[in-house]
Amino acid sequence: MLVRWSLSIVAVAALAVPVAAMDFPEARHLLARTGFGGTPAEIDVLLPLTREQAVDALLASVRPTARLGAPEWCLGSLPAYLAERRAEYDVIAKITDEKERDKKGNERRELDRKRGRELKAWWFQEMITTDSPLTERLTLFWHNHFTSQFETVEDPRLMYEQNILLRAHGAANFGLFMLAIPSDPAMFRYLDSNSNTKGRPNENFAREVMELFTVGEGKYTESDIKEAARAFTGYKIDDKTGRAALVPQRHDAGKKNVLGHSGAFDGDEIIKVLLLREESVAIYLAGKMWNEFIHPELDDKEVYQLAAVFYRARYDLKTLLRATLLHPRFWDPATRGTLVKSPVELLVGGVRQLGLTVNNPLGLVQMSRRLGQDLMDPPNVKGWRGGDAWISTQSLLVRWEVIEELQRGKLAEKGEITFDDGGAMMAAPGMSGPATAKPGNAKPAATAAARKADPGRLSLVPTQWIPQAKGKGGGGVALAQQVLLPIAPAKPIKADAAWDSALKQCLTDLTFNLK
Amino acid sequence: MHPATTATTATTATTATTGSTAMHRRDLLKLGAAASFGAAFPGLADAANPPAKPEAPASSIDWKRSVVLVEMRGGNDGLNTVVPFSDPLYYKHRPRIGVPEAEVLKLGKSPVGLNPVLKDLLPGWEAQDLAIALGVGYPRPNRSHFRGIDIWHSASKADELLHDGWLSRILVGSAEGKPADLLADGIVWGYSDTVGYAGFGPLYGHQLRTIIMNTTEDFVRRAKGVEKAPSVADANPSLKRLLAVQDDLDQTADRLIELQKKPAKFKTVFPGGNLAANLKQTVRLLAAGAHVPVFKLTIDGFDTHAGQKERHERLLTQVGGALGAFRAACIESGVWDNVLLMTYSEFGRRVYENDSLGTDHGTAAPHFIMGGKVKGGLYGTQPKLDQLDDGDLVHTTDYRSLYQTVAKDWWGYKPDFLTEKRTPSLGCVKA
Repeated sequence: MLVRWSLSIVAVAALAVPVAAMDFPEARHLLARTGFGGTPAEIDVLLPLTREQAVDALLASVRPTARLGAPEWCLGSLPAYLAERRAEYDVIAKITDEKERDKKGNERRELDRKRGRELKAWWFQEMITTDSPLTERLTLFWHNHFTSQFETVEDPRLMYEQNILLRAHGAANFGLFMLAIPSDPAMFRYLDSNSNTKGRPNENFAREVMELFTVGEGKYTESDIKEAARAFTGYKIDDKTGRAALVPQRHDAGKKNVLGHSGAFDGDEIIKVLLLREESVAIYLAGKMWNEFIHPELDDKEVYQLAAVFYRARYDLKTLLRATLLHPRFWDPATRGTLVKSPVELLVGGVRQLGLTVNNPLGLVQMSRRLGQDLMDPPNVKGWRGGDAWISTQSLLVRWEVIEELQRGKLAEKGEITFDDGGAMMAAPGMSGPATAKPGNAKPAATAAARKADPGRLSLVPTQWIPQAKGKGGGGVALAQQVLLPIAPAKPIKADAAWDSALKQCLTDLTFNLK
Repeated sequence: MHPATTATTATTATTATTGSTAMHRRDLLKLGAAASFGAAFPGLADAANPPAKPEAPASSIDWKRSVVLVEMRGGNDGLNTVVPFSDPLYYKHRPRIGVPEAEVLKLGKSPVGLNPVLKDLLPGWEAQDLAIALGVGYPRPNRSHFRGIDIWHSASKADELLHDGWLSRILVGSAEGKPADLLADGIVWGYSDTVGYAGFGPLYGHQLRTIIMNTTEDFVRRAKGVEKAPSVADANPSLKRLLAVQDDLDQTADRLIELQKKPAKFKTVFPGGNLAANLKQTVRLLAAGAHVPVFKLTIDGFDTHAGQKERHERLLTQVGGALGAFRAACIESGVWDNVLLMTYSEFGRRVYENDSLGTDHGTAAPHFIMGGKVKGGLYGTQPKLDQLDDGDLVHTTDYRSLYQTVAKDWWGYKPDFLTEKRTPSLGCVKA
């Protein structure tokens, strides 16, 4: 057994790394799979690097926090915010006149909903302007792993806190990440943990820990869920921190038996038992990463090798990501264009690759919803199915309409996206901090300078290329096709096509939906 | 301090303060100790070669029979829909918004009757093809709109989170005998109400061919605006899927164009409103010979917290008028025996009227089932007004009985798709 694992590591290390620099399609592929697709200048930045250097630089550039400042209602301390919000609702509840009470209640709830929309727009803005698209892809990945729905959680601040949590742990250690989940207040509300008490367990959280967060579907029995639910009894929101903590009186301290492991476990202990003793945790996570970054179909043997690397690295996520991104299958040319872009990837990628200016990211929130991905409001706890499921008659119809609007460079009514003529992207209203200080559109020179100062880091910021490409005739058309499409277009594009028509053909080609 | 940093610090602190149970980095370091590895992962070899999952045996439904679902969004007030006029407590709890006994449409000798604005349902009642299920709900009811409708759409227990819609589970399990000329697995009418996948409701989940549209004309126009799918040699599976769906869009649009050319077989005049317009299009498609197992429609606005009487009666007028016209047009077109229409809503409303002359989120409510093969009458028992649970009705009919009626009695689907096993059907479908 031990031999197998050791061999696997050697195998991964030895196969993955040619010493030579990447070619254009390889660099393009890496940016498409780890971000939202690159512009020619971004691809050029990677070209001198080997695969290994590029992957290391991308991983070194992952940010543990958001680049934009928080919406202003997220700036104060969480406990103070929660106390204030509760007090506001309490005052309303005490109004004796029922009509007045309803009116004020509706107004207060509408404020929460408005802030929720602002938060979704904030995340879009972060994705559009970030210099580390991989950070956003990881945050999206974890948002779909540790899901919560704003419409159920209702408090927008808690969704913000969860987003921050996903960022803090997203490329760190999965064990510590998983241990932070039971106390996350949004998750706590979403999965009814408050009603999970001694003598009357609510199984929601325990079920999702097993099915969706750790070992994966089919690796446990109903009895394991019931037992694990008892371990998670008695958590309660602590007013001092705003986060959930164990209250011994509400906790069932008896012995539990989960997957053959028995003991008087509490929530943290049951998670540790799963992490330490169940191989399926590493296999499940490695499989999800495979689906996210390499291929829609799992290769069980290869996933298992990656799981071994992950487990040996004590659930260090960067180690797993590195092994995944350097896996030979990732670089196999047949892998290109096998994954479907999510609606968020389609939109953010479209904006970044085409150099569009977003005046109001709320438009993107709506667009994404129409395409089937209402950010922070997944359809249920399992999140979005992803992959092929993004494509239905319904969604393809909307994709066509959205792509046409991107192509026209104008979403005046809904999105207020206009073609960038060199100006900086504008920040959404209601945001504070660095957001107002012209994010995005750093000049290529600045990017190069940043690389010189810190050769381990990459600053991936889209730059304008369309006006230049337009002037290059056939060379420009070939470039557009190379940059925008992962594989040969479904409908061939003539090299001598007029620029506008060629760009439209690239964007409306079915392969633009792929990465 | 930067807010993000504050949040992160707080999280770490919380983890640490849970005391002895907190996992420290050194615990995780131990994870990789080679010595414990084999012992920790005894089943390693199996993981590399996981056993194939046994395939569920294929089952079938009667594909020629359609279900038409009408969602009354917002939580319909059941007590003012089917009125317990013979119970004085009803008038005691609803002195101002209650429906006066003299106005109630009596249903034979039954102690409950219909709100007078539902007069267009009477022909169905008299012809005995309208069934009314009383006191429909479930244990430990949830009063959130979102969670409430999730429960109804997924056929789950109150504290159970299921991922797929109930119709989706049945249709995906029904591969056998699926007609080649199926127009779609489902049509969801009302695009603006259904943006995002949540709009698929009971059809959410598996890759069903579900079409969302405002009108057939609108869908045809949009689908025809899409280029025809090219043929591509050696397409990868994702591109194949894109090509197939794009082709499907085009073919569905062509078939809708063909279906629309057939003249309507009915003269029934439908009233105004989207619900009626969508039901009219449903009959037109069915009468033209389209095979579609599920149609879903929505009428919004039932969250009547204030000033209920006028609003609610306006909505019920639309429901009654639309359902009545639907019945008449289906009979005229000769498709009534192939249709089962059913209403649903996330919850009923509280028994007591509130100070704003409305009602708040409650629990059980009655629902209508109609069709040419329906045995008319009342099913179940009216919840008692002197046995309330914290001011709410206690349900008497499990809502999953309605679904069992569709699955088993209407479609002849054999497997029990419900997690709450042995839920009986209503028994309102003729053999």
